[in-house]
Amino acid sequence: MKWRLLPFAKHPAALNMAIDEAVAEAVKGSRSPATIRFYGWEPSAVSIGCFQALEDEVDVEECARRGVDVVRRRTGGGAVYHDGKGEITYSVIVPEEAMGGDITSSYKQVCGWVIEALTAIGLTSSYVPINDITVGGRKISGCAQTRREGVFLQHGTVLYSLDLSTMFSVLRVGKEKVADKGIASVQERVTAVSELSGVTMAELLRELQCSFLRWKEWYETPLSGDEMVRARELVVTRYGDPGWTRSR
Amino acid sequence: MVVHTVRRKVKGGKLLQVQLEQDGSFVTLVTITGDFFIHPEEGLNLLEKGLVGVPVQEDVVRLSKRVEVIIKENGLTVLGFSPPDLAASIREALS
Repeated sequence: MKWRLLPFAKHPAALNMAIDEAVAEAVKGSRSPATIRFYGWEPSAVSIGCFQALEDEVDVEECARRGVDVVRRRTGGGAVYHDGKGEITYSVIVPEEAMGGDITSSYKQVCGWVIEALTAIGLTSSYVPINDITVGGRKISGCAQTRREGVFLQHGTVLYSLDLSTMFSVLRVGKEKVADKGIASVQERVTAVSELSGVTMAELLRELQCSFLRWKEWYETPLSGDEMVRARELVVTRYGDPGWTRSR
Repeated sequence: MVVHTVRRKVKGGKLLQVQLEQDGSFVTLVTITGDFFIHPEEGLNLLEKGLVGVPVQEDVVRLSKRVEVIIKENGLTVLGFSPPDLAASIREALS
């Protein structure tokens, strides 16, 4: 199986989520190959899981004041602050049969690619089921997976640098969320590559690309015109629609 | 109509919030939110609808069985909470 690597690009939140879905549709229709993309967020954004209640998780007014986008994902999981300058996000979009039927195993498999990249830059990290990667007990990467109509999609983040002030201004992180982790402060739960290593963000991206593509036959090419047209439709009909964002 | 809400972190799992509306002796609306995963995602609506009509006095064992049946019948995979976790939250909300 040949994989496609999309060039790194930054987009607004709604378009980022719409691109994932447009690519998944194209993979389902065999119009596009299995795809790996790394991307950023411009402007910074908060994404929430598809089952979360927006107002419980996000200070929407504070987001508006700070110019932070808000988008609801089609995947489950928690609310994430995507710093425009401090994060690399990935998506793996592939026919489901290539990843096997076991959901937990496939989380572990893709998280293993992130762990390989972190190892390559000298960081020892651990997979913490269901969807976290930690360094020294602190979260450095999270992800979420969906499987729709025979297509596997997992997207996730790798934190490069932290803007805790903005992160905890826009997210309403309740004490319940860490109640079973024995940690007093939520801020003590997260870390980032730049706090632990001297590598640049470009070097981190390169290592991630290497580990995700290792042992795969692949080529790099941009998103097709049809995929971008479909993504822009999905911005209008779903990801940029307040009705979708506020649906819970 | 009475509204009940319970929000808790499932031990070893995810955040689970249950909001129930009660009219007389029965649950009339169920909203389940949180950072869990359900595959396929549309399964959450099936779970919520399947719990409408539950007697407010139903015990946690029967509630758990009811959740388990909905999950099995619809071929859902739930990560982050179990049927007993959801049943316990519903029971707590109604108590």
